Amino acid sequence: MYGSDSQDLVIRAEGLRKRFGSVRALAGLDLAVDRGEIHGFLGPNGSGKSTTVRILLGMLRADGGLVRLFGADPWDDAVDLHRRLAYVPGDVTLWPGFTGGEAIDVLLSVRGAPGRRRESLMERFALDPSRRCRTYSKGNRQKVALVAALACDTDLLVLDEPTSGLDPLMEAVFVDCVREAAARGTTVLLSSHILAEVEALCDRVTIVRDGATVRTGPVAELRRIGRVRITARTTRPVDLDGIDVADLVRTRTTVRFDASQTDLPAALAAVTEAGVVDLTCAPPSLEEVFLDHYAGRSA
Amino acid sequence: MRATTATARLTRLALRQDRSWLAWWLLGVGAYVTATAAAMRGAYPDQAAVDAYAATAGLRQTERLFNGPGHAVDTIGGLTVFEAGGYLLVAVALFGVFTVVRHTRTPEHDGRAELLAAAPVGRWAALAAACATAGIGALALGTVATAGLMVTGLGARGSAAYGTCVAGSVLVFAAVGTVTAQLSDNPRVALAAAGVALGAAYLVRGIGDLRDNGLVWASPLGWVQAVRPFADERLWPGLLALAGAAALVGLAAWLTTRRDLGAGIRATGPGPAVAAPALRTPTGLAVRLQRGTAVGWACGLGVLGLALGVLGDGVVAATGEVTGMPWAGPQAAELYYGFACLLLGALTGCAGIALTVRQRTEEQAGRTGLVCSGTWSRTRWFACCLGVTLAATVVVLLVAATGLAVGRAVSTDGPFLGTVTHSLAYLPAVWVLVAVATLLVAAAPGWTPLAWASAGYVLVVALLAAVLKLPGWAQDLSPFTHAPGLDDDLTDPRLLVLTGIAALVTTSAGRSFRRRNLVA
Repeated sequence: MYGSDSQDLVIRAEGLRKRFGSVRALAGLDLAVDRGEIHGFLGPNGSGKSTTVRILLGMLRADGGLVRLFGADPWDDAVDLHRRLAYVPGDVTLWPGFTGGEAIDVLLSVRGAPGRRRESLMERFALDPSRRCRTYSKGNRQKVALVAALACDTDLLVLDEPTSGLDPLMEAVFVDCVREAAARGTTVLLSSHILAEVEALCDRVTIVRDGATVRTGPVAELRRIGRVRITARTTRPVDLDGIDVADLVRTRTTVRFDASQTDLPAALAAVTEAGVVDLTCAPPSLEEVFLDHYAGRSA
Repeated sequence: MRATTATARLTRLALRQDRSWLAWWLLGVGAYVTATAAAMRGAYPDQAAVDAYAATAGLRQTERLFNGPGHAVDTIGGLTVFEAGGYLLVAVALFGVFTVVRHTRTPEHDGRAELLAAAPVGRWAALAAACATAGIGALALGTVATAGLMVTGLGARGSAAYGTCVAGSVLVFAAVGTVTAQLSDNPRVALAAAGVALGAAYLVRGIGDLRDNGLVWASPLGWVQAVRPFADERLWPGLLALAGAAALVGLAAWLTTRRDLGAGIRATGPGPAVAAPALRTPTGLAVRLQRGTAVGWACGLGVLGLALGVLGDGVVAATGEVTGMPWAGPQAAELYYGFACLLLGALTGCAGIALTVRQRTEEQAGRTGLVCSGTWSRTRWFACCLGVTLAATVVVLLVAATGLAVGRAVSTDGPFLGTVTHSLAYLPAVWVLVAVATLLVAAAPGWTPLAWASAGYVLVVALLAAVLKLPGWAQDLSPFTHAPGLDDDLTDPRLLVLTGIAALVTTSAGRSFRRRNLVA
């Protein structure tokens, strides 16, 4: 019904639009997540990530555009779709009088899922299940939601900044757990600000800004479109006329600049021409790619 | 049905959260019903005494306005329902409203609903579970009310009929709560809107009973009271209440499909980007935090005061021709308006408690810690909140008293200023209630809900002391007993004593608050 190439899409959103009164949250957002992949969902604060996630979960109704989860409408078929997914929000609120263990069991039983990995996960996340939720720190509340989500097998994990408040040790545990889930065939949508986490986990990423998608693709490809930083010492001044470089800093015999992948051969040729003594060529970090997109500069 | 998937699971969850809430209500309702019925038996020990009461029942217009229609007042059961039963129907209506709001709007507002909404839970499951919980509560409260009347020796049929009234009131106003919970994203607004609906239902029913006309059918409270316990009991008005509740829940269910999770029917617009200078001071912040609640109470009590003032005309006219009775003749007006002032005073006390227990919520949410983490000391913040609450009670009572005085001046030619000052004489008593609530919040925060028990006690003494013939010490426990009467002036020493008690209690509360650990 969506054509052969979109049959394997677990999440499909096209031209998603949503307003809250006079505030425009989404303005034509696109998102496509394949079966079995770990998909990173990135964007600055207020760019519409959580709104998108809530639309995917059928909590909000989109004003326009198309949205499908496993080929079904998340608003109309919420109950059936929710049997196939688990969700962790970035800001977990629990029942203050319940213990952590009780909260996990309630969440699991509402999903109707057997929490087979409940005990081992609590141990790995070092969560004390007999403490009251009101005494938990933010990180511990987050662990409760993570344990409840990861304890059973699901087709889809929707994680909205799931590691906010976790210490680096627990973050590493989280990365392992998500990898294990992916190995079991679970599709993962990971909204995150922690780029190391995204780099370690994600196959593809989608970057959004101001409620619209600005870039989507494999992590490696995104890295390729970034600029390469070249630092060189030469015997003669480098002639860079006609070559598009950025952030140029030079003296008579040294030069430092950023060049895009397409301009790289010409730039290197110019440096070689000037009698190269010393040359370093650094690939763009993922962080720089994201910062470029977040800030609205195109790479 | 898909839309109600997981309702049973959510209902069990809600009942688990409501264990102590429901237990306290069952205890309260059981104790109230049993105590009032037993007290009536003591006050009217034989049929002659009951008949003497019944002979004057036609004159008890004030009670008809406040309590209900009064069926079979020549029996001890009918008398109990007439004198004490009507108030309970209002109280349990609040139980219904609070129960559904705390299981529908509150979890959405706090964010707890989000994790559940992402599970296979139907769109109407939370609503259905809240209704089921309120329904179970209605059944339990109705049963306890029935049993409470029966243990004092009243007939099973009449007792069960009154139990039906209790359950019906819970159900109808729980249904009202499901609708108001859809309107705004704020649970406080949902509670306030349902409170307004309850107040309107109470007034409309009162006017209908006072004039003895069909207006009672415009109020759900009129429907449940038309069950007529201990008279010729009828079931069909109870079914009418049930049908009304079902219709309201249907409306609420429709409204849920028209909105997003966590949102109201109308989106909240953007506000000012910069805090006004006043908001940057502790007093200004305290005013801002209490403003909405205080304005709501002032409007509500202002309208109630106005209505009571206007209605006094009818009450006094109906009793005016008979002389030789304490509640008839020229004293009738004094008695009626004195009672109205007392009621408005006690309700202002409730407003003060509502504003005070808010500090507990603020502390639990971690905002008190945040506010006191800067240069504002704990004592200063405590004093600002308390001062604003005390000032708010003055405003609320002033508005209520002005409403009453205007209504009285319009309908009769009663004294305007006298009515206002008589109302204001209850201010020190209001402050004692606020002081007790403050002490609980400051020294024993876990016991904060007890503040509402003190409000309940004060209301019982204010409304029922005379008819229950409560012992003197029990009446003396309520600060409102010690407020000076109509003829005394505002320099009465008792006012100073009450104010002194309030000052003493709040000072010790402030000391406790500075010494203990802050929550969160």
